[in-house]
Amino acid sequence: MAKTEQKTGRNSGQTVNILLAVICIVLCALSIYFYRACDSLNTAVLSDDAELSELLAIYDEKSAELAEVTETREAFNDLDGKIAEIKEVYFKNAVKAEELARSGNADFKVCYLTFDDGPYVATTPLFLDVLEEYDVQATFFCLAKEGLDDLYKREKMNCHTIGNHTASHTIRYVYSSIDTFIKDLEENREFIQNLLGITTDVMRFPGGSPQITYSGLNRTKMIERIQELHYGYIDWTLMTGDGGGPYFMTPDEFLHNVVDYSADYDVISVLMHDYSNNTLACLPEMIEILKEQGYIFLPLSYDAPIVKKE
Amino acid sequence: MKKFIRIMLIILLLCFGAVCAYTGWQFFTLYNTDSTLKKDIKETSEKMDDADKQISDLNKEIESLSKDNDLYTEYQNWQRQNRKLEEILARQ
Ligand SMILES: [Zn+2]
Repeated sequence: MAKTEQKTGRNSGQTVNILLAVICIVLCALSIYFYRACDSLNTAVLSDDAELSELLAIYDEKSAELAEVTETREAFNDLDGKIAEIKEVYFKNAVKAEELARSGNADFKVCYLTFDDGPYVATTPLFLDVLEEYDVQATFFCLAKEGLDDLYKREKMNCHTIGNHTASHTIRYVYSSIDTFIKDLEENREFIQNLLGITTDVMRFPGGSPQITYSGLNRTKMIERIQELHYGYIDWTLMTGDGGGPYFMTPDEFLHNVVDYSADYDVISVLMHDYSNNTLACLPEMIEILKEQGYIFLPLSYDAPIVKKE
Repeated sequence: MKKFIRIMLIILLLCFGAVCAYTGWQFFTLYNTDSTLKKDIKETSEKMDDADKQISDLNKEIESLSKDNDLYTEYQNWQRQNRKLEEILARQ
């Protein structure tokens, strides 16, 4: 009996030893497995890490590109509002420029090129071409003409000012009474408003402001009326002489009518008509000479000091 | 003798246990790091594809918007003219 017990004890002792040995082997095998797995995982981590850094660098570039493209796309939103905003800034600068030129404290003079009675289907595009070539802005005192939408639009697109020169320009009719004049003027304002979405607030009297008195109308009352409607008006400092007259003049004479006198001023407005081929012929040289005389070219605005309010 | 074997086995077991725990812990740490990296790579690639798509969509939109867009041309013209004028004023 005691022998049997002794045998059983020895057997269970051996079983425990075997079990311990098996566990040792399993642990050893596991350790080897983990060690080798760690090795390959390490390589994977290193290469993944490199791949991620590379991706992140490319992604940064992509993000910058996306931001840029988004900004460009953004520029197309509310273009009308943006144009209104930048025009406000621009014309404040333009007023400052004219004031500076008048004060004599500037190294430039200011020239307002103005073209009356247009647009004209045959010649206006050619005038616009010249202005575009020289990157010069001007003012077009337009009438209300049907079927020439593209020309008004191009004038606006090229940052020229569209001024009001009455709808019909028929001297006898528009100056028949102040009411008639205002009616014709407002008709043109509405025409341009409908076509371009801009309210004209700079005007030129057909024939110039002296025409009011020539026509037997009361100048003071007329000016009061246009003021009430928030118009400023402008006559001109110099002109080519293309508005018709008793003599035929060559382009060279037109040119000299302007550049021979312009040197004496700090601020000028030049009266021209965009129907005149002779004006067109001398315009490039005129711009070049005026530039040499120190002129910069600005489009008119209501706030420009040269635009009269009374 | 038997006791000695038992003690040796226990010591071995403790040693292997420690080594196994250490390598096991390292294995799981690395495993987690690698899965995080793989996840990040996948996410970044997806974000990049998304950005690519957005860029190409926006470019297409811009192309069609700038075609014959008088207002956009006008806006650019005003920007240019304003820059020119501001340069002149800054010189004074
Ligand atoms: Zn006229």
